[in-house]
Amino acid sequence: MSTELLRMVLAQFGDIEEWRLGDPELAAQLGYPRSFSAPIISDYATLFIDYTLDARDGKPVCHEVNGANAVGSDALTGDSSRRAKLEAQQAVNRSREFGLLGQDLRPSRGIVTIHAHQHWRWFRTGGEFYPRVDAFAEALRNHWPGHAIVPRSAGDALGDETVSVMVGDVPAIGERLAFDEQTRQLTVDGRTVVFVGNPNVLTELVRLGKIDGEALAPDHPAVRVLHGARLFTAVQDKVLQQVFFRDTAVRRLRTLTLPDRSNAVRVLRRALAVGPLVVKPNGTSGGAGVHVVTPAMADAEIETVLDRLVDDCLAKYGEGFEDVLFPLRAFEFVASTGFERAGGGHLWDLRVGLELQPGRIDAYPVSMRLTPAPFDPKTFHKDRAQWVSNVSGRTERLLYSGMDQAALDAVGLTAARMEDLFAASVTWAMRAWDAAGRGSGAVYEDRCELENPDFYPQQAFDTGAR
Amino acid sequence: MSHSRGPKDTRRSLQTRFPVSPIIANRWSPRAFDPRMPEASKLGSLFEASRLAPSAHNAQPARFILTRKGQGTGYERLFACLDPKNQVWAHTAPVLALGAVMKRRFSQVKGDFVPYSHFMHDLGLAVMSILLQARAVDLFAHPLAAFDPDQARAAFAVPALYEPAIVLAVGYLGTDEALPQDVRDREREDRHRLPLEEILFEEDWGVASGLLTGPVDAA
Repeated sequence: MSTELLRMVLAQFGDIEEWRLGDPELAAQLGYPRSFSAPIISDYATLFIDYTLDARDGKPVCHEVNGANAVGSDALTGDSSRRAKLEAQQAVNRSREFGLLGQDLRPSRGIVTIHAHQHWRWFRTGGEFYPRVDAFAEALRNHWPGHAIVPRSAGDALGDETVSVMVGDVPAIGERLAFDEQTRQLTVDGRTVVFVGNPNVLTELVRLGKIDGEALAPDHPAVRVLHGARLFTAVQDKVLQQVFFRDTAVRRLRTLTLPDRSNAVRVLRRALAVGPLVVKPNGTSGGAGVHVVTPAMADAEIETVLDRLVDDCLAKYGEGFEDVLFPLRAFEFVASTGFERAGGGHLWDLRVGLELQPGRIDAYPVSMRLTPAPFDPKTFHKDRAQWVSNVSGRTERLLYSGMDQAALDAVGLTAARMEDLFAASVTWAMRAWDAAGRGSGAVYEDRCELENPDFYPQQAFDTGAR
Repeated sequence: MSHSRGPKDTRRSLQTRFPVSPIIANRWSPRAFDPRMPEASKLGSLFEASRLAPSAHNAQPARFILTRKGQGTGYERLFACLDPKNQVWAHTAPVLALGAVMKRRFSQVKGDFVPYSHFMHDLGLAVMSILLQARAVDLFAHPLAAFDPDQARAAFAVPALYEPAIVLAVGYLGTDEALPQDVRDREREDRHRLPLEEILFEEDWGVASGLLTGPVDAA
């Protein structure tokens, strides 16, 4: 652990400041988190949904729904202890599910949990990550007192501990993990992995050829151990994400899918009729490979943008990533209501955090992130600083607490609008949860009901039972 | 001594006008079970079968809580919910399972819960899958309606969205010698079903179906 310890100590110096925004007193004063009854939620997950308000009409739109690889779970308390408890409870449940606990509900053999963070070059949230892993291990110790629960870095040999709490960056963890086809379980040195805290680990395993990406679904054993397993498909599929906002206060963005490179320019050209488009790769994080194309661009320029997108991802994730890059997704570009600073209005987004546990969803505002440069509609496509607000890899202070009333007022996020966002977030999570259990999108009857709300008329079919 | 007679046991089979699958023909709801605990793989297959049952909107409303005699406290807690008249024989079953059903379904279109008229029907489909799968692996399952759902809800912390609706007694077929006389008598009675003529009509209510009156396999 010595290398890891050094990294733990040094990590905070280069951190982005997102994890330092938590203010428990303010959160309590404002009544956060908002708790919602969610009877269909049957497992654990942590989600972060990024919203903004469209400058044209002030209506909310969603840029992206992020899974457990994202940050912000410390916004309520200044640490991620709440999330760590959910993660630990999930690890305990999976251990039982996999038959790894004895009659006394304690581990009967060695098991492994995985907390993976971004690749070292981009890792800027150590101040949140390491205390969370520590709180996770502590929660397991409380659950299984007397058992050795030992932190391990990805490079360590496992000892005779009961639970190895393994940490490391995604590539190192990916190297260490194996998928045992016989037992259908993820393993480290033959010990079963019962928890993986970051979905990017699976993308890495696909890239390394250790698991078949085509087979990944919520009930796949390698997905089942993920924090937020049930929502894996919805978090990965940026187009499906928009579908789940139907009839909420959040306007769905127009989207399209580019299955491969062959006709991407032709498809994009057609879609550019509605305005600029944001193009995103599949299965990346931290804004990697996110680019914009505009109607004024020539086909050759769009080709160049796509080349750059592929190069970005290869640089960040390594050779073989092109296999998991597609399908690309494209979305209408939305300029948000400006956050006025010296030099002009900056684009921004507001992150909303969701904690899911059986029967309940807790929602809270995390942070408002600003683009580094003011927005200019004529030049923004040439300058990412004008339109990308993702803070990974940045150290500038372009961040406000999601509970900072002055910042919220500055962009038009009224109290009523905030409640709209929480309600839409909860509806999104319930829809995604339900859909994941019934196929990735909607069943035939859902489509019929959507086209004709009387398809399943309660009056006609109601047998009186309640 | 085991009195299991295997899946081809026809002791209580009914005569049928048309041939049906032996799995269906040789299924009944016994009140005498062998004390032997069914193998985990066989028990697992029962609930795997329930998972494959159809449901309106693919809502999959059925949930089950498995309890095994001598393992944990669940069996005793569930047994205590049974009507005393069922307790006199159900104690012979090594396995009891509580079936609960989601009373309202989540609508993708509405983004909220809506009335779900067919929830009991869909639970029934899941339960029938269990009953038939039980016969396929040499087991029997007996569904019991006479139990206290409120007591079961409290005993197993069943969420409000779900209604405890059925208990299943599961195991290998056993001897009925130890059953109380009145239960044993019932157990040995002939089984009865309405004649097909009374449940199948054609074209209109009450009109005998041509399947029953015409030549078999006539065009």
